[in-house]
Amino acid sequence: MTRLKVKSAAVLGLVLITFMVFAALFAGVVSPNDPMKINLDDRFAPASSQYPLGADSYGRCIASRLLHGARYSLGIAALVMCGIVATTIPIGMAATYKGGYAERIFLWMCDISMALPPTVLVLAIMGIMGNGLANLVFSSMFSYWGWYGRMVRSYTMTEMSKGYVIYAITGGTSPVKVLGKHILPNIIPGLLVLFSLGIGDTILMISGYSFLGIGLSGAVPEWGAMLNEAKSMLLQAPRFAVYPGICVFLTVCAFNLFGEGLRSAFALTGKGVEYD
Amino acid sequence: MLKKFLAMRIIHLLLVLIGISFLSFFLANIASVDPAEAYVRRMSRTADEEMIAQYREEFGFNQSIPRQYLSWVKNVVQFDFGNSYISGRPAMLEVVSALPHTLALSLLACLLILLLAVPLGVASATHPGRLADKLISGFSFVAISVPGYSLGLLLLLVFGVNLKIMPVVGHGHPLSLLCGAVVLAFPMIGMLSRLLRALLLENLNSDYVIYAKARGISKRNVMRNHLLRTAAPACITMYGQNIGYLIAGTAIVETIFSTPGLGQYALNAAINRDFPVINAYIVLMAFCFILCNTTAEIFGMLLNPAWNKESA
Amino acid sequence: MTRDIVLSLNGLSVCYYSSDAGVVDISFDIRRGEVLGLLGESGSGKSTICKAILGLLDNNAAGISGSIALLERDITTLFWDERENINGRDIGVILQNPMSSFNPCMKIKAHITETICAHLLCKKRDGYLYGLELLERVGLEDRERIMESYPSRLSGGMLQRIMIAIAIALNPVLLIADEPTTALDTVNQKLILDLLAFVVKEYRPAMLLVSHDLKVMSALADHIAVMQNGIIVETGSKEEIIQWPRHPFTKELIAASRFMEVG
Repeated sequence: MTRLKVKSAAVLGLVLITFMVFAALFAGVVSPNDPMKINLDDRFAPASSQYPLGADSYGRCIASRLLHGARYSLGIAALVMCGIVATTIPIGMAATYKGGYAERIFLWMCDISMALPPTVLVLAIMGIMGNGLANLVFSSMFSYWGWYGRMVRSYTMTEMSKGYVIYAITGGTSPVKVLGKHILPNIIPGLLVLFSLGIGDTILMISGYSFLGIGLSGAVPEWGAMLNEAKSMLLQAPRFAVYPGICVFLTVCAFNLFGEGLRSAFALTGKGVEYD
Repeated sequence: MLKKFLAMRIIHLLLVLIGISFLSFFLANIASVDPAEAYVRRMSRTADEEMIAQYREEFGFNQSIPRQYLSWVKNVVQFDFGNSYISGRPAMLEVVSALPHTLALSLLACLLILLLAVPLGVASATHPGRLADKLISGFSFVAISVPGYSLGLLLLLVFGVNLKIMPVVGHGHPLSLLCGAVVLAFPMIGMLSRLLRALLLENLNSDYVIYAKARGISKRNVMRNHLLRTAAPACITMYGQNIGYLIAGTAIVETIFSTPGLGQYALNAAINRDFPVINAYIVLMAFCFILCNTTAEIFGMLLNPAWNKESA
Repeated sequence: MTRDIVLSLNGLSVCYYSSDAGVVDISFDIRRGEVLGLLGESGSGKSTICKAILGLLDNNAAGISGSIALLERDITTLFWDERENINGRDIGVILQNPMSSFNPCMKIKAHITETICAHLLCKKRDGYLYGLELLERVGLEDRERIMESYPSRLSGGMLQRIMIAIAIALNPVLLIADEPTTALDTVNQKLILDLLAFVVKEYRPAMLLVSHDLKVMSALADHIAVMQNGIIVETGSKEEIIQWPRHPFTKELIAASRFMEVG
C-alpha cells in the first residue's frame, strides 16, 4: 500500500516536472503571443482568445509571460544546482577520501559558506559585485555550496567505513577507481534525493530574489519579477498576483513530490537516505 | 566538557569571521567599480579626476592591498566600519538601528512556529494514517512548497484589499506584523511538524516505549515523557539553526508589508552598493547566526544525557 | 481451587495480517505461586502471546480470537491504554533487552517514580523512597547513585535487576518474564535466575516464563509448555518434559541442549 502511494507521488511529481520543462523548452513555440511585446491599447485586457489569461498593465500577454517565465525560473535554478553538483561531488569526495589538511580546508570552505544565511550572502555578494544574472547565479551557488558539500562528505564517510570499500583499498585499487566505481554509485541515491529537493528550494530562492529586484532586470518575465510588478497593481488588478505564484508553487511541489517519492522508494529498497 | 566545547566554538567563530572578511575584502577589490569613484559620483554630479584622487587618498584606497586590509581589520575590531555612502552616518550604527523591527518580526515568527508546529506534529503522529494525519501532512507539504512572497501577497490581498482591515501600504498596524510573522514562520512550521512527526513515529516502536506501555504508563505520559523527550534534541537543534534564517530572511516580508527593518535596509544597501553598510551587515549577521546556532547546539547537548556529568 | 488461577488462556489465536507468524489455539492456566515456562525457538510465537496478554498488539496488524482472563476478568480486547491499572500493577513485566528497554534520556529514578505514581496516588518523593527500598530488595548496592544514573551508565545485569524491582513494586499477581537472561553473561544469568526464584518464593505471584533456554526452564519452571510454529505441541511438569519428552520436537530440544551442555 505504501509502495503504491510512493510510486504515485513520485510519478505525479515527474509528470509535473516534465510539463514544466516542456513549457520552458518550447515556450517560444507554444506561447500565443510575444511575452515582451507591449500593447498599450490592451492594458488590463480580460481573458480572451487572443490573451488566454488576459494582459498585464503594459498590455503584455500574461499566459505567454508565464510560459517564458518557466525558462528563467527553471533554467536559473537548474544552472545553480548543476554548478553545485558538478563541484561539490568531485571536490567533496576527493577531500573526504584524502583526509588530513585537504579535508580540513574543505570543511573550512563549507563552514564559511554556511556561516551566513543564503539571503545575507547573496545580498552581500550582489551588493559588492553588482547586479546581474551571473552574479546572482554565482552567489546562489556559493551560499548553498557548503551545505551540499557537507552532505557529500557525510555520505562519502559512511560509505568509506563500509567493508567493501576497505576491502578495495587494501586490495590496492587506485583511489580514483575506489571513488568512481565503488563509492559514487552508492552515494548517488541519497544525493539524488537531496538535489531534487534542492532544485525546489533553489527555485523558491531565485524567484524570491527576483521579487526583491535582485539579479534580473525589470521586464524579464520571471515569475518572481512578475509578482513584484503585481504588488504595485494590487488594488487595480489583484488577479496578477495569483498566476505567477501558482506557477512557482506547482513547480516546487513537483520537485518536492518527486524528491520525496525517491526518498521513500530508496528507503523501501533498503538504500537508507539520511533524513536531514 | 562544556567549556572545551565553547572554547572551540569561539575559535571556530573567529576563523569563520576571518574567512568572511577575506571574502568581503577580496570581492570588493575585484568589483568592477572603483569604490572611490562610486562614492564621488554619488556625492556630486561633477566629478573630476582631482576629486577622485583626493577621496582615494582620504579613504586610503591608494595603499597596498594588505595594508588596506590591516587598517580595515583594525577599524572593525573597534566596530568602525566607516560611514554609509548614502547617509554618511556610521555604518554599524545604521545597521543596528534597523534591527529592532526585524527582531520583532522574527521573534513573533519564532513564537508562532513553536505554538503551531508542536501540536501539529504530535496530532499527526498520534493517529498515523488517519484523516488528521493526512490533512496535516498535506498542509506541511504545501507549507514548504509555497513561496513566501506569494503567501504574503495573498494575505495582503485578502486582508488589505478585500476585507480592508489592514493598510496595503504603510506600517504600524498590528495585523501587518502578524501577517508578516505568519509568512516568515510558514515554511518552518511545515518542516518542524514533519520532523517531529517522523521522529515520534520512528520511536513509537522502540523498546523503551514498549516497556513503558507494559508498565501501564498512560498514553499521554508516554507521549510526553518518552516520545517527545527523545525527539526534542533534534527538533531544538533544527529550530535554533533556523532562527538565524528567520532573522536574515525578512527582506521579502518587509517589502510586502511595508515594515521598515534590516531586510529592506540591507536590500537598499545592496542595490546602491553601499560597501561599508554591506560589510557591517555581513559581520553582524554572521555573529547573530553563529550565536543562534551555537546556542541551539548547546541546548541539544544539554538535553542529550550522554553529555551529562558522569555519575559512574 | 479455581480461585487460585491467576491467568487463563482459552483458545487464544492471533493472526497477523501481513505475515504467517502467529499463534493458534493457545490454552493454559497459571496458578498463584506457579511458574509456567513457554519453551521454544525464536519465531515460535512466545512473544506474541506475551504481547497479547499485555494488550500490545496492533489492532490494524493482527486479529485476536479466543480469550485471555486475568483473575477471571476478560482482558482479551483491552488495548494497553484502556487498561487502567492492569499493566504495571496487576501484571509485572521483565523484558529481554534491559539495555534498550530504559529510556536513555531518563534517569532510573524517573523510570521508577513514573511507574509507581502511575498506579498509586503518591508524591514523587514517596515513590523515590519506595524505589530505594525496592532496589535493596533485589540486592543492589549504592542505591542513591543508581537512582541518579542514566541507563547507559549501568550494566545489563544491574538493569535487569532494576527491571525486576519495578516489576514487583506493586505486588503484581502475574509476572511475565520474556527471555530474562538472554542478554546477560553467564555469571549474571545465574544471579538473575536466583533472584527470580526468590521473588516467586517470597511474593508468590503467578509467573509466565518465556525462554528458548532449557537451563532457565529447569531452574525456575514448575510446568513447561513447548511451542513450535505457533502451537503448543506438548505440556507437562518440568520433570515430565525434561526426562520423558514425547513430541519429536521436544525430544530434539532436550537432546540438543544436552549435547551443548556436555560439549
